[in-house]
Amino acid sequence: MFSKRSLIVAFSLLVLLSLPYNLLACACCAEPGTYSISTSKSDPTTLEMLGDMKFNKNATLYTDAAGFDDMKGITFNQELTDADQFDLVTAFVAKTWKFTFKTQDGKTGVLTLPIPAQMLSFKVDLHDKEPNIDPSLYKEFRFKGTAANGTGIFKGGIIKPTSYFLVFQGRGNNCDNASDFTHWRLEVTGRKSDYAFFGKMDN
Amino acid sequence: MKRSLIALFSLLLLLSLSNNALACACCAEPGTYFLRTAKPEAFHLELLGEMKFGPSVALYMTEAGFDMIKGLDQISKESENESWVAGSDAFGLVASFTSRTWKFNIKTKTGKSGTLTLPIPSQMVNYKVDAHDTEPNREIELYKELRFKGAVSGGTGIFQSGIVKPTTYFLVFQGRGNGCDNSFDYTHWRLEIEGHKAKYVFFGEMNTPEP
Repeated sequence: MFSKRSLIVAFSLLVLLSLPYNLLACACCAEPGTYSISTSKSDPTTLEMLGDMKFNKNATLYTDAAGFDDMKGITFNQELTDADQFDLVTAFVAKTWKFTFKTQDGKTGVLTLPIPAQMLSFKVDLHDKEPNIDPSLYKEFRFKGTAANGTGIFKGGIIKPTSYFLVFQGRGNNCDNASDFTHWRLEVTGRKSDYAFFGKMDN
Repeated sequence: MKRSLIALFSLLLLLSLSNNALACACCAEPGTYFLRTAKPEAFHLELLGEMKFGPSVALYMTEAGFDMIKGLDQISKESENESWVAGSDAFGLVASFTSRTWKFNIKTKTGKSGTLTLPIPSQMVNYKVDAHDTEPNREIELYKELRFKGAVSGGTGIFQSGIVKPTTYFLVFQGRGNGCDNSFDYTHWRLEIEGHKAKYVFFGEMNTPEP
């Protein structure tokens, strides 16, 4: 009367329905009220993800009401390049980021940023989803390290110790994917440096 | 004539100011990222005093249910009842901030209650970030948090058995707004309790009216 295949399907369905509700929940789904801050060593999965990440080719120099007055350690002609007109090429190779910035008048500078020993992962439910929809967490990967080198427009500002703070920002569920991260921000601070760039990711 | 000249002079003066100087003092710039640890100032204490908590609370639950929760035995027993639902209004709340101390009184639907007493710590974290979710050409609306990590000084009722020294708390106020802080910016709160005998999280909404 019933084929063997139909019986197997029916039996599988019964087994599935008999499982407790919790076990059927999506493993990567975030719960309302999720909030997590964790510091750890960058594991191979994270390093692979960082290698997969693609930066957009435009970068913006962060300016507040003070304009360029509070900035130090970056030399460029402000009349020829607006804050949002930097070209960017980045690479993450051998656990090191290289950010190459280029002004509109062709001046360049490279920041060399070795990955620090520890990273911080931050995930939070912003409570901005409709009820009964899984939260889309706001998430950050944060890296605080030491700038190893600066050339060109950054050369005069990179003296030891100059630190950097690189943040990848995005949205997603409890599992991390390179495509979750849509924006980045890089802050460089030291005795002779104080500036921040930000931009989009093209993951 | 004199009035016209003064108006003209004021206008010229205004136009001579740079764009930056005319920028809104509280407006956030694209790419804002602010993370500071500092002593709570008088301004923050006033802000915290103005904040009003919503009337209901949810217990944070993961797929593990009560397996990962400690220090809420009475609630765990109550949850075995079929009518118990872990929703956003599972508990009632009366919370206050007076004499630099929060008191959270949480009540179950069957009338069991308990109070957590949380003195403000000496340091707080102020975090504000452009989450890049503002519509283009609109003023940037930052995601912001005020974070407090301190020691729980007392627990009564349903919390009593779980509060042994040292038990810590992590209270976060979450909200949206511009570069200046207002009590009504903060729309949600989250309280995490952790110690030898306690591990649980409550969260809920704020109910601070805009002036």
